This record gives sequence, structure tokens and C-alpha cells, in this order.
Amino acid sequence: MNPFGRKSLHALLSAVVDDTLTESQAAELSRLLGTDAAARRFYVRYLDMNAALADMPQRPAAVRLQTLSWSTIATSAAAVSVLAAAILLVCLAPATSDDRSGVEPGSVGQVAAGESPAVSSYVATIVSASDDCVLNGIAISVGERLLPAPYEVADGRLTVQFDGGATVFFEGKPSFTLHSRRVMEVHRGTFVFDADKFCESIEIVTPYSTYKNIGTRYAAVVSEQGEEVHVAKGAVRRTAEDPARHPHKKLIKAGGGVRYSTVNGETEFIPLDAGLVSRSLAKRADSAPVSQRTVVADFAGDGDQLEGHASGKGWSEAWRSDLGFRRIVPGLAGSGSVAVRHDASGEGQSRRVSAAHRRLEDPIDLAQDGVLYLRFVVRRGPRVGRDVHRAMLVLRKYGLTPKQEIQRGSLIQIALQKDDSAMIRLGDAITRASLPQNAEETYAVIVKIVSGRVKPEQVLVRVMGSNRWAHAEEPEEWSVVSESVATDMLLDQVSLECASSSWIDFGELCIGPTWESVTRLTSQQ
Amino acid sequence: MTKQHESNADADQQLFVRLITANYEHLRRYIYTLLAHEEDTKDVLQEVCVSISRKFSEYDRKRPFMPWACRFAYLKVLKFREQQRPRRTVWLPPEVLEVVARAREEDEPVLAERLAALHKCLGKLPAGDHGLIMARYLEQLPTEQIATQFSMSRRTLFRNLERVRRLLFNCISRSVLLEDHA
Repeated sequence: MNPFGRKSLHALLSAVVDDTLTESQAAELSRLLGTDAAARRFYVRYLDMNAALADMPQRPAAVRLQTLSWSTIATSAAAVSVLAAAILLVCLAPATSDDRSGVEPGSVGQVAAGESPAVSSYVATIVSASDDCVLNGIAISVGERLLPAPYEVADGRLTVQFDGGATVFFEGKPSFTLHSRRVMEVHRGTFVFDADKFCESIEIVTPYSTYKNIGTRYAAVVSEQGEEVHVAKGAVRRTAEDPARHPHKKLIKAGGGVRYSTVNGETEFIPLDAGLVSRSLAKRADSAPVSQRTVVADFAGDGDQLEGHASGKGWSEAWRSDLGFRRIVPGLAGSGSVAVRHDASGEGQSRRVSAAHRRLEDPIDLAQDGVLYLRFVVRRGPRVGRDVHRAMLVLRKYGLTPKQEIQRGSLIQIALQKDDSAMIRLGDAITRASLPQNAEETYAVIVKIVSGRVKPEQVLVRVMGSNRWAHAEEPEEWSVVSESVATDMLLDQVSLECASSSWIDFGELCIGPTWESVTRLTSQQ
Repeated sequence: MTKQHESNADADQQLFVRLITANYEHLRRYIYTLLAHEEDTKDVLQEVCVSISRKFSEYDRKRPFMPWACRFAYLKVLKFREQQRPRRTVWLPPEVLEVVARAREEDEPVLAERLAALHKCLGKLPAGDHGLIMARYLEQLPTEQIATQFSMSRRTLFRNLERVRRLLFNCISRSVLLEDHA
């Protein structure tokens, strides 16, 4: 393609992406693409660049649904855009920029002082840590989410898992900076990187090199004297920061090691240190006993209606229900369990909406640092037509009107709806994911709420089939992950809400401090 | 269902989530190349993910995921075009769409390199141009609002966007070329 053709294509393709193409331009574009291989390559590269630009971290205006009703949310094109962006465990703001200039020192998961008002998105999770591990001066908790920020490990060892799946084990008083879910700097220390072909690639920048994994397990030791790299699996592409001293680019394949000295500038091939590369830290089993569970609703007792039932613990009052729910036995956990049912499926049943509310003894304060887990069990009948068929749990502030809730963004909603959708609303941010579910099958919905004084809040939801969740460990992947949102909500009421022309059952609900504390069946206590 | 079946199903679900997560943006860019429309792309992408989840048991683990997923995406794009009446001017004929899809598949390694270079090139843009890109893509402001914010007419805005995209595109091409020769 000649320069004239290239210039012409720039104009055409710019009109394509700005949606200003005329019909004659469209015809010209079709002709070019049908006849010219170079034009096709140009087209593909140009549109790919545009698509990548549209993938920059964002907070769509569409999610600020302050005045929209639920029905509007379900049908608006804006909401559809959020829905699509959230398909299956997709962080709405995958940080793809490798701009490192904006990172300020911060404590664990903390947004640094002086940071721009935009809310940072979490990029990784601490999945294991030794008991003596201290990160940025604070003893850390497994499960804690990490924001882009610098981190110093004074003592101990830990493993960080990026949201794209790769894990990095650290030891030797490491110092590192997370820049995004794909870029990290390691200033010093030892790290072991582990990823397979299904994980997102991570760029690790050291003082002397940039490493990019290719389906890899590799280890590196970074010190003032230089660094050495050992590759056990796959390959690593190293780009030297100082090409004058070392080869600019080097593919290091599995089975060997390389030492780069900054003292004499030498590169030395060394045998693989299998011991170094195999270092890891087992996930710390959280042995929190079930008794640490703080809130349980099991719906036990007598009578058909939920209204007035006060079984369970951690509540300041009995259920308040609009009579839409009735109790059924057995519930969703077999003999001895009880559930509550919304039923609009029977003849003469015209009530499509049911709701029940109960106040918590101890409010959930999202202005405090911490992680909280919540689990409820749900089973939904066959969806009728294009019904929304929604089963939703809401955490809210007692006493606010729906309008005030929306205006203040003061609620968390977790819903399963239609045949194949899950939704999180955190404040004014809505995230939806496509999650096919079977009618009449029981699912556990396990919710992790990350909160902090300074750091943003985030809600992660895992939907699991019956019989799998009771013994499952906290997963590495979540079904839906909300945006990171800065809020100071104080939530003191739990609501169960259904909107369906079919039937929906809610089984046991519990809230606790750990994954294990909410995933033990009541019958196992 | 036996425990073995449950365990397999759980492993399948985990693998599916991992694969979709890792390749989600890649799939989105693939579909966008064929549809050249952001909203349509989101609609089709959602359909693709649902289809893949339903057909996931047919996925051969020994083969790479993306070509398999792209095949779904391509078929969904065709179906989408059949079902939707053309509402835009960019509606490539099926035979052109096919060769574009093939061109994209052949160009994937280059596209990966270009994607990496994009971030560096964004950092090299002059402040004003960078602001324009942020307003258009990061903040997704309406055209009129960007024009007002940057004190320019709508026509001038489109010209400026074209110019900045050309800067970026050329910067990426140079960067990839340099990397190739390094």
C-alpha cells in the first residue's frame, strides 16, 4: 500500500470508529478490504488499536443510575453495556496501562494520600502468608485485596495472586510495586512466578530487566549486585534495562539459569536451581470455627409465614415480611432444613414480588478495614417467558427510602436473574455477568465484601452448585467481581427480594468473618 | 450425580472461568474488528460467552482456546448480522468479512506486539492529545461535550481525533519495527 493509500485509509477508518462514515466511503472501504491484503492488515490493526483504547480503565457514566428504577435498569442500553462488560468474572477496570508515574507509597491495600480522586481498582489478592509476615508495617490477612501501590515486606513470606491468575511468591524482605494487573516492579528480594497458558501474562520489571512470562514457572533473585533467573517451565523473555552491558533481548528457556552481574557486567549461564524455583507457601488453612459465625438465619420454627420469625442469631429483631414468603420443609439442605418460598406460579397467584427484611444486631461498617463473607442458598423454578425471575439479597441502611438509597448509593445488592445472569450492585456501580444456571437446581451464592477506611470497597461473588460449596476452599476465581467503589456505607438490614412469575426458594443465610465460617452447613455444626 | 462427575464439572467450570477471564478482552477486540461497533460488540460478546459455556464440554483441552473461541465469535457475528437489519453504513459483505477474519487470525502475533507498544505510545503523546484520547475513550464523553471541553467544533474534533490516532498508530508501527530489529 502506498503512502497515499495509507493516508486515505486513516481517514476512512477514523470515520469508521467515530461512526461518521458516509455511504460512499463505506463502499470504498468494502472495495479496498475485498481486494487489498495490505489494506486488510491495516484495517485489522487500526480497529484493534481502537478496541484496545476502549479497554482502558474506566468507570462508565452508565453505571451512575441514580434516578433509574429497576425496570429501567434492566432494559436500558446503558445497563446492557455494563452487563456485557462484566461477562464472567471480569473486572470492570482491568488496568492495562503501564504508566508508573502515579504510584505513591501506601499501606496495605491503601490508596495513597495525594492520589487523584479517581478510585483505584484492586489488582491482586494475598492468597497465602507466613504467620510472621508483615506488609507495609501491618500484619496481613490472607484474602486481603491489593491496590496498585508500593509494598515492603519486613518479615515473612507471602504469595500474591494477580487477578489474571498468575501467582508470585515472595521472600527475602522483598520490595515491590504493583502497577496494574499486568505490570509489577520488583525492587529487591526473591520471587517465584507461576502461571500457565490460561493466565494473563505479567510484566515484571526489576532494576536491570523486564521479564515477560510465556506459560511459565520461574524464580528470580534481585539484589544490588545483579540478579539471577531460573526457569523451570515454559520460557521467559528478558529485556535488559541497560542494553550496553547485556544483550538487549533474550529468551530464557526452561531448564537453566542466567546470572546478570551489575558489578562487572557479565552474563553467566548457571545450572537450574530447582530448590529455588520450587519454593512456595501452602495456602494457610483458615481454621476459624463455625461458632465464629456472627449471623445466621435458618428460618426454623413453626407456622407457614416468614413474618415474625425470629430464629437464628445476630439479629436485633424478627423477620418483617409482606406475606409474600412462606416457609417450606424440607429446605435446601435436606432433612431438618427450612427454606422460604416466593411462589407466583400457582393458579390464582398474582403476587410477582415478595420481600422480607431483618435488622442486624451489629451493623456492617464499610468504613472499617476488613473482609466479610456472606452466603445464602437459592433455588429458582423455571423462568416464565421473558420474566426477570430475580432472586436478590440486599444489604441496606434501615430507614432509608428507595429513592434515598439510590441517591446515596447506600446499598449492596446481589442477584441471580433470568436464566443466566448474576448481578452485583455496590453503591451506584452495577456489575453483571453471564452465568448460566439450571432451573430447580440449588446454588450457594458466596459473597466476599472487602472494605476499608481509605481503600475502596469491592464485592466478589461466587455461585456454586449444591454439594460442592460446603467443603470448597475459597476460590481463586470469582463468578462476578464488582468495580472498586469508595463508599462509607453503614449497613444494618438484610432484605430478601424476589421478582418472578415463577417460584424462588431461599435457604439458610449466614454472615461471617471467613470463607469457612459461612460455608459450613448448619447440619454439620 | 456422582462425586467424580461433580468434581469434573467443578474443574470444567473453573477452567471455563479462567479461560474466559484471560481471553475476554482479546475476544472483544476480535469481535470489534468484524463489527466495528462498540455496542454491537458487547451484545455479541455476551452471546459468545454464553455459547462457549454451553459447548465447553466439546472444547479439546489439548488445543489453544482462542482459535476455538474465535470460531464461535465469527459464527455469532454472522448470525447477529442476519438477525439485525443493517443499521449502520459499515456493514461489510460476507465475503469481505471472511477475509478480514482470516487476516486478523494471521496477524494475531503482530497484534499482541502492537498492544504492548500502545501503552508506551500513549505515554508519549503531547498533553493536549493525551487529554483528547482520555476524554474519548477513558471518560467516554459524548462528542459534543468533548468539543465544548476542548473549545473546538465537532468537525475539528473529528479531525483531531483522526490525527491523534494516526500519531498513535505510527508510533506503534515504529515501536514494533524497532523491537523486531533489536
